[in-house]
Amino acid sequence: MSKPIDKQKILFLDGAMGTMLQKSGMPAGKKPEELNIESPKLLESIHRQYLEAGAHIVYANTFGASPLKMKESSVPFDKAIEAAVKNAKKAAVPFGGLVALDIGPLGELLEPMGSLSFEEAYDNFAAIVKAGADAGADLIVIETMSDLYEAKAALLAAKENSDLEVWVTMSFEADGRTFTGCTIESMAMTLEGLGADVIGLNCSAGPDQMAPLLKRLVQCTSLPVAAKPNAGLPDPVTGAYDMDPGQFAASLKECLDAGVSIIGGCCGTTPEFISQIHQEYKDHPVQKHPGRIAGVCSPSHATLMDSVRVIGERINPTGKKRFQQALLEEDLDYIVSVGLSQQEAGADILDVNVGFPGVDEADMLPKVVKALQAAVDIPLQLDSSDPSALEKALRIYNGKPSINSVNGTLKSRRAILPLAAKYGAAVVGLTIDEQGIPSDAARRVSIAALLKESCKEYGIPSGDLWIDPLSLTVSAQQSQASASLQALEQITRELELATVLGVSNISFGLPNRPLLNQTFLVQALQAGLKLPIMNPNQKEMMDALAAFKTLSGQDPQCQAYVERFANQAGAPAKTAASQSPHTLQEAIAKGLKSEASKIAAELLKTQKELDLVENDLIPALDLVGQEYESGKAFLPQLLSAAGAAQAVFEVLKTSLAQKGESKISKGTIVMATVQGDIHDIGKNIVKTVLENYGYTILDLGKDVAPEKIVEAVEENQIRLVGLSALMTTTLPSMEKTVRMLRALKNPPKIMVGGAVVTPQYAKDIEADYYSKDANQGVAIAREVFGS
Amino acid sequence: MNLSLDDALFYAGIPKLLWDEYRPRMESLYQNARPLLQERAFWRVYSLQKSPQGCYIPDLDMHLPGQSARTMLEGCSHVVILAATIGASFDRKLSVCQKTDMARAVLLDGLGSAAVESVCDELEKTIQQALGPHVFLSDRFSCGYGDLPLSLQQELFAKLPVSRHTGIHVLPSFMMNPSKSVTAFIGVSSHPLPARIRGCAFCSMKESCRLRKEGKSCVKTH
Repeated sequence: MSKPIDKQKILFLDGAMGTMLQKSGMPAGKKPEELNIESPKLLESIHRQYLEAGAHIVYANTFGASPLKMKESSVPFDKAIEAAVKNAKKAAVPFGGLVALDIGPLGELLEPMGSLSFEEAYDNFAAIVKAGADAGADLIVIETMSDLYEAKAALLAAKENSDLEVWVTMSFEADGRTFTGCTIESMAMTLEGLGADVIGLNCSAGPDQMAPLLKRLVQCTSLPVAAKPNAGLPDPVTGAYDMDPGQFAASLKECLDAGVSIIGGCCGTTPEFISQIHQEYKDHPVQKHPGRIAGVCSPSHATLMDSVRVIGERINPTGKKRFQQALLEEDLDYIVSVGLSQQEAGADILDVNVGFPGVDEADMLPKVVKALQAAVDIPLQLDSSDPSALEKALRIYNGKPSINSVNGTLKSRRAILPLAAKYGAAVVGLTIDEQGIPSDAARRVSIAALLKESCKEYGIPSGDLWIDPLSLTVSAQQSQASASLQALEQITRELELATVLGVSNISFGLPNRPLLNQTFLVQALQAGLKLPIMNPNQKEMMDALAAFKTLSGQDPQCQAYVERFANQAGAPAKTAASQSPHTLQEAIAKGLKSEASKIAAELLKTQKELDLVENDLIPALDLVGQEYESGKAFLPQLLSAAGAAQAVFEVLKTSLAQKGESKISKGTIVMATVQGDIHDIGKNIVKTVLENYGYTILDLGKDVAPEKIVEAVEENQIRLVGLSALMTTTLPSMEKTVRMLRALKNPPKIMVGGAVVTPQYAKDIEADYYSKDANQGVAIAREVFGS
Repeated sequence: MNLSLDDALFYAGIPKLLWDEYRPRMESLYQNARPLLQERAFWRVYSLQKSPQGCYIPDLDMHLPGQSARTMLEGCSHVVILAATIGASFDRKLSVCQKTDMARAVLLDGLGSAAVESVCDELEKTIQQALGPHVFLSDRFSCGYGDLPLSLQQELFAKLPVSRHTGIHVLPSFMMNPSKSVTAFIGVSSHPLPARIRGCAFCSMKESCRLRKEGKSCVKTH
């Protein structure tokens, strides 16, 4: 490990590089990193001016020197980095100054917003880090990040490919979020957990606008905090920033007083700005600030440990046939829908367990995590006993997750705790050891104490250890309920650790389970339980929790309680399905989702699933489809009916899964929005409608390479492919895809559609069908599959 | 944000005769989506020269080739380049909605289009205010309008710090991400300028436009 940088005194960074290069006459659109080789003296002189002004650390001119950004430049990225560090070193050494390898965003959006994968981003950053470390950089600064996921990829790459200090600064807007919606709390938790040495903010605003955000940041971290604001805001007419060095320095005082200890400047600042802040603050004391906050997070949502938090337990195949089927079929949409419904019901964290015979967890857990984090906002708890599955999921998780679980055995502690430490995750500790589950409270408490000690050894803060004293089925061992509660109470009070408890197992094998679960939940909460693991979709449980929070003063002014129940009194009793005024066909055609699924459930008592599809579902959709064709119904009505049909289909799928019967499928269709195209609402409309007619859709998503489509077609022996394109610029990739598909030995039929596609164009590129809308898609599918 | 629900219904493709039925739904969708709208805008003013190919911005060494730019910027001494977006969180919501409720997603999509239009309208007012009452602005037009090439989008992002100020990225296909984003040009003159947006006949997208397929136009006539 390189020598740590002394942070006992205020550290000064340099100011803007771009501003200085523009002043020297660099033309718009020029890659600044090319100047490292073309004009080394210019770069050296800019660095020297900043060092003379008082900067301790200068950033080498490597902000955009990535393989991605420089792929079309005549200068290779690593040569640009080597020259940049050399130029900066030449200037810094006489001053005893340090040179930072400066890493900016890659300029392409990461998945799921964009198409750059986390792994590709990591590889880019790793290459930059290796080049910078080889060139002799003294530290690494990752800056101007607005996507927490990209910041994580860069930070991991820096830590795994060098032994230098790594600092990370992100760019926030005045509303306290980055462009991608990341919050200050999420940034602090995630980056400190992953081992950044300094965190902070740079660019996007002046020091006055940045001050409230910096104050929030110092409250969330134990790390030194850096600030590199702009020289105020730019004037759109002149392009000049509106602060002078005096104003800039004055505005920074508030930040230093709050605990910021590393300062410099971003866009619009010059050596005069650095000189001014150096003169004013070189003797300013470094203010202490509070340590890190306990909790877990996604980029947009931090779940803090300041109140009872619900961990949703439904993403778990145990005892759920429909979920098992979805796992085996890799039906990620279904799993995501289970996550969304728990979030909707009030879960604060989602437990994610995909362990099932026939499922490769190391492959499936990261896939499910990627799908979930693209849709749900609350943080995830990675639940697996397979350390390799956990590590893969921890790597690609966007935010700070928790792990379920470690236990008191040496084997488990050695396998799991290093992972929690490296990836900065919270971890659930089960009170089990080599002897199994203790029957008394005292031994559970002592295992918890052992886990606390082990975490300390691995550098995991005690706030990140959540103890599960385990609840057992009361019908089998009645005394165990009170043992769990007693342990819970002692762990909370004596060890000052947060506790987790699964509250649904307790009632297994007994009648009226909800009553027992509800009562046990309240008992456990009273004993200090922080994180109940439960089904948030069970209304009684969430009701009990709302009542507890109100009675224990965790719901200020009873606000949440009133909101929850105010609208329930006097609500009309739900109509029983048997009293429904509609037939199934009518309910679907009118788009009445919940009514349609209730009627379907009722009809299933006397009819078979496939009969319902043929006799009710499809005729209803046909009816709406005909009305749409003739201009009597419109797209929203067609889609409402499709939505109701979808709900009915879900009822049928669950019923089939429970009986262990195979699903309804009239044929499988591959659908994709072609490469380069990111607007896929049109394709999704067609998909929704086709699914409701009983076709299985293999949805490859948007921006899909022709090769990937061909691969899917060959692998699954597909007979019909649907391609969509929205822009004229992406038509060539549609044409290429069609060409490649037609060259196959057994080519599938191809239908094309989308805003820019015309019947003539479809003919020109030799597609088999032009589909103007979802309805026509159904007609084509019927023709191809003969039903 | 001064969003017009009628615009949102129009962009969502709801026929006018159903607007009264769908307006309350759109209104509640709007209230729901409001916290997700992260409006960001960027604009700069540049002096403008005529060139044999069309117009030329010397400070950026940027050509605006073709007849459309020449017509739109007729009599203008300067040009404003602007970019606006409602942000990435909205796109995320829209994509989740497509999984859970497609009918709602179509309405939300229209809402997003209306919202970014409204950001542009507000921005135009800000620009007018900043430049003063003695300055006249032309109609707003974008890359792809008439014969102004869509590929200019790429150059615009390379030469201006649009991404850094708004979070908008341009893709190799010239699409923008987040999807509800706009870049545009506005001419600046010391004399009043006539309205020049001419509707579909003049647009390079006319062969492939979704609205046109449905017999509508993006030029507001409703």
